[in-house]
Amino acid sequence: MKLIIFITISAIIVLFSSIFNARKAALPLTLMALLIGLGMVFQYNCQCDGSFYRSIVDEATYRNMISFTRFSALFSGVMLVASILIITLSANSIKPIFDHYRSDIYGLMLFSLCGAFILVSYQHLVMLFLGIEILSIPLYILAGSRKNELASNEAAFKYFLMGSFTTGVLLFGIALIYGATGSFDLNALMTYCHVGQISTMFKVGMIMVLAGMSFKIGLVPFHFWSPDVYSGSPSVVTAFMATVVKTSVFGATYILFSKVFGVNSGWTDTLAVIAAATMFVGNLTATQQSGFKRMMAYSSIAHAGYLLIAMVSPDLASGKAVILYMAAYSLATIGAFAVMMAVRRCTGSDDINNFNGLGKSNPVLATALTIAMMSLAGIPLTAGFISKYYLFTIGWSGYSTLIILAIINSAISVYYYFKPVIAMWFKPSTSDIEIKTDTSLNIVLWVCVIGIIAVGVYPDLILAFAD
Amino acid sequence: MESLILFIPLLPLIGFAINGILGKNLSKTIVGIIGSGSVLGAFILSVFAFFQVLDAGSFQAVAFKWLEIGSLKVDVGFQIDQLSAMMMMIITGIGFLIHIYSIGYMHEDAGFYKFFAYLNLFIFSMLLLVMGNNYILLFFGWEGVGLCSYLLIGFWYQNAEFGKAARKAFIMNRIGDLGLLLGIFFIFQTFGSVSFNEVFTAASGTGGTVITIICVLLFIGAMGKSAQIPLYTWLPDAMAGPTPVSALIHAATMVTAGIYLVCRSSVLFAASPEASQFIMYIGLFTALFAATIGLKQNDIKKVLAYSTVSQLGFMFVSLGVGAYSTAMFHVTTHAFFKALLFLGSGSVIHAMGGEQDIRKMGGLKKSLPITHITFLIGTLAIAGIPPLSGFISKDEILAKVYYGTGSLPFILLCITAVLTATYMFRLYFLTFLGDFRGTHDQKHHLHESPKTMTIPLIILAILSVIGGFLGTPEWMNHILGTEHILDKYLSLLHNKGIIHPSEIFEYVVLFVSIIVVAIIWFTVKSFYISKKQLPENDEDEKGFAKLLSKKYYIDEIYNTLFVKPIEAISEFTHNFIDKMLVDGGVNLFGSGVKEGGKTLRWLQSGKLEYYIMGMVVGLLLILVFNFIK
Amino acid sequence: MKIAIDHYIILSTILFCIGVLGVLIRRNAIILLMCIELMLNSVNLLLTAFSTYYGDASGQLFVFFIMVVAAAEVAVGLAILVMIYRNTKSIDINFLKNLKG
Repeated sequence: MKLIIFITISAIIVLFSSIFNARKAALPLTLMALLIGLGMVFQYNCQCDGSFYRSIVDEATYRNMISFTRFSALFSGVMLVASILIITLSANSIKPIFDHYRSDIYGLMLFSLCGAFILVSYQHLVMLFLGIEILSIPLYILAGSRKNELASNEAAFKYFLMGSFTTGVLLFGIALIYGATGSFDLNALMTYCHVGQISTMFKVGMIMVLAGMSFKIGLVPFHFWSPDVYSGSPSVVTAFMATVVKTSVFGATYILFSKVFGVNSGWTDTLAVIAAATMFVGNLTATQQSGFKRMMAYSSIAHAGYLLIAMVSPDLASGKAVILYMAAYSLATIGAFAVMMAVRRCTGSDDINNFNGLGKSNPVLATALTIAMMSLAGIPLTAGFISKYYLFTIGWSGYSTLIILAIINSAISVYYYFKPVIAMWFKPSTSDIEIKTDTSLNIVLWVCVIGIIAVGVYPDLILAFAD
Repeated sequence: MESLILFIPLLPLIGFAINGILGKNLSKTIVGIIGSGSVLGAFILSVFAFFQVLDAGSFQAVAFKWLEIGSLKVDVGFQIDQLSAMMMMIITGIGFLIHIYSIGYMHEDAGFYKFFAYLNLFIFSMLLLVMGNNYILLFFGWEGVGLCSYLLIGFWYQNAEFGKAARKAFIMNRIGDLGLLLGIFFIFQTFGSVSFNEVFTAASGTGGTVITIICVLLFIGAMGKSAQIPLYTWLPDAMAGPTPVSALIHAATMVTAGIYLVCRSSVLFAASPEASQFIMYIGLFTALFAATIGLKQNDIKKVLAYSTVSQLGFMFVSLGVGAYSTAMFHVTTHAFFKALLFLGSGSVIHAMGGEQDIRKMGGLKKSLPITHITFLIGTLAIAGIPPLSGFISKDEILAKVYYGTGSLPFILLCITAVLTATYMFRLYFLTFLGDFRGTHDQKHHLHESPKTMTIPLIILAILSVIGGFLGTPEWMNHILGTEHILDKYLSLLHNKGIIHPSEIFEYVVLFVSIIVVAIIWFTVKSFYISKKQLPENDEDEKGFAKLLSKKYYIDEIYNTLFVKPIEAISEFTHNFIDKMLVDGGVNLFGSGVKEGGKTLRWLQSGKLEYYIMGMVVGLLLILVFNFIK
Repeated sequence: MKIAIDHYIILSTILFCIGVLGVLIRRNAIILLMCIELMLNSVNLLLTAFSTYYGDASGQLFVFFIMVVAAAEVAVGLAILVMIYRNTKSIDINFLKNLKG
């Protein structure tokens, strides 16, 4: 809770820094706020003992609205690290003409992050709704932050319209759940689910809530927005959406479905089908892409499909698997985006052909991207492999068919993840534009690469926090 | 001490990293200092570890938890006990000498820094192999040394033949590795763990078929790495690598990894008499077989290579009769004198400008005095002149075999020992005595090697002389009041009973061997020096001699038996199974993926209303799906 | 006469469906916003009905949150629309189909 308040206040300060003509202070202020936030999460995690899902603060303190548990702390930690990396990445990548809005962009990101924190710690459906909206509304603006580019406009509007549409669906679902149970409190809902008959109204409501959440994660058939919005938005925002937003909404869904609705409410079959469909749609469409950002959008859809395995698994350790997976996925995605941004800045487009010959002209970038891609594809000795392995092992006891489909999909994914790798190392350069990097980008790359390999060789780096 | 232990493998790794990454820009002196210095540091720490073990017994040092998948828990942890401390001393000690030697030997080579980087990587892997406290880490090191061996055999990769030799070594090793890996799987399945302590605690006092299977599989791994029949043919070819590599990897350390593996798992092998019997016979035949081939080789390094195979056979015989500490004793002395002989041969080759054929040498005694003396000491040690190290350790093996199994293996082994002395003397006489048979240029070029090369030779020569006193036999104990240090030190190995040979037996062996070796010395000398007989060209050999000089045609037999049929099969599988069935299947799958991707891509039309329609239809479908049931 | 809760549920469901259909059929962005507003208001109606039915105030409180958030959302939405209008001189969503595939 302290974390949420702190980040909100910092967001306001950052936002106001432009009024006081202190726009240059926005970046250091934001980074500082995030680092302090990370410190708070650490400290909280150290204080905690015992159960993964119990808050150390009495839940009644916040009127049963928020329950910040170790689960929330770990998710917040992953999101904070991702935000720090993304904001560092943005230091030099925001175009000079948009520098004017720098403090607005950071302020909005921080607000969005607040929503994300609420989403991993809500205890009441009002907070779920508020969390999703606080997360989304700043993102609608961020997606359209390149005011003069039609692609950015289109992305913003598509995201906004479909987003508010699904908010309506989500709210209708919440209303139906309220109608069936008479309460918004998660504990009361849990009791309702585990004792006695579940009414049809509740079930319909549950499915509509699932639809609302699926939209934000990008699950089939609610995924249509994500490729368009990802490719239209500025890269920094896309990276934020692909990592932080996905992590937080996934945490929210995990809380709702694994913790509250329980495993055997008859919804796991639905989720398993959605998971399989999501993997296939994501991976198959990704093979046909020529733009890097769009490919990454489909890749993120596919990864959401893998992650659903954790939700249909009866194993309690699946929460840890989700955290490990999200951490590995976020590191690799941010690393890949960093390289893409360098290429895009120098060549003007994110087409995979623009990566040709990068292995010769800038081997550091090429190596970093190769490692990131290997991690996303799940090649051993990377974080992506170990997290996938962990997830699949846990999921095996639930739906083994789903695991087999997931493995087939991993094989398919190698095809498109290695497209840029092949382009970089085996194709001759098509133009003589030099791909340059800068310090902040290099720092992010190194952190990502070292993180991927360290977690890949020694997953306890992250799992130790969850024990 | 526990934390210092981590630095033992870490130092060579750091050396590898520095030399590998920056070596190109560093001067040769600095590369040499970094390469040798890191190994020297590891050696000093190993000495500390050795005394620590001597004082306080074995200890463990866990660096970090590595993997935890289900019930499989693997730590990166080191187990320092008598066995590993001894191996560490050999690896880092001899490794250091050979690093020093390489500074002189490789000085003209363009790949100087690469050579040192590989050597350091090898030392690192080998240390992991002997220090690890579980089979997984051992396997990691095992593969590491295999890789380094491959890289170093093919170090002069411009020569296609050398590349082929490297590949041959790699493939033969892989066959063995498969056995080792299967063995580890079986161990994990049987005992539910891969850590040495847990496995050996669970295994003590058991027996039966499973243990035998595990032992045989582990031994197949050892066969590959330690060049035993039928996987030995790679070792003579491995002489393509630079000579320091042959000394370090293919004589002193890596090839003894198989012995280490069996000693480490002595609990398991002691529980399986069948597997032990198997090992003994394989070792016995390898020893005899390789020794006969050694009689007719004319390449100085090939003779030594076959000699190594033969000596490794001796060690396996010893393991087979349950005398594990005796095998380790022979590993140690062999490391001394065989490294010495290889480095000596390297010095000769260096002086001869790359010539390796002993028919073109002769009379090098005058121009290479230090090399000559040290080489002579090595020759006498391996031939079995008391009280040099080779005699004492070989004598102990013979005694253990005599009392352990019976007379036939003993007699065969004695014959092998006689053959050993014969081919070694032949090598010595042809190289160092008589008249020079090379070209005029070579004669002019002859020179003693630089100090960096001769000093390691001298140190190794001293070790070859006194190394035997680590395990003095009974009669010597009586006279000198010494004791068998090694037997006491290695008491953790599961030796099969302690055999005390009778004194009469020992004296008989002592005098008989002196007399026999002396007879061989004079016979060989009269043959090659007084009568000036020279080995004939391979083509002119007849009968059994031809069979020997052609190495029993084993390479050709393998070629016909395995390589050709496999090529035929792979041709078939390539054309039919691969191209038609697999490629067809993969292409079908691939085009399925492609078409599916295209269709799905078409669905992503960019139109907002279709998207929302998709979402609504999807939601309705989910609702229907849930309520139809 | 007391109106049963079922009637409220049916009414708000019908309103919600009208809203959804409107989003699906219409092309004018402003109308789309209004349709979404209709969906949200049907939810408000439903929540209020349940709230009274259970005699529990939290449902009505939720309605306030929805109204506030909806207002914020529409503000952002209109801003985006203005931005688009500046670039395309139109608020027809048919112009927005460049990102696809």
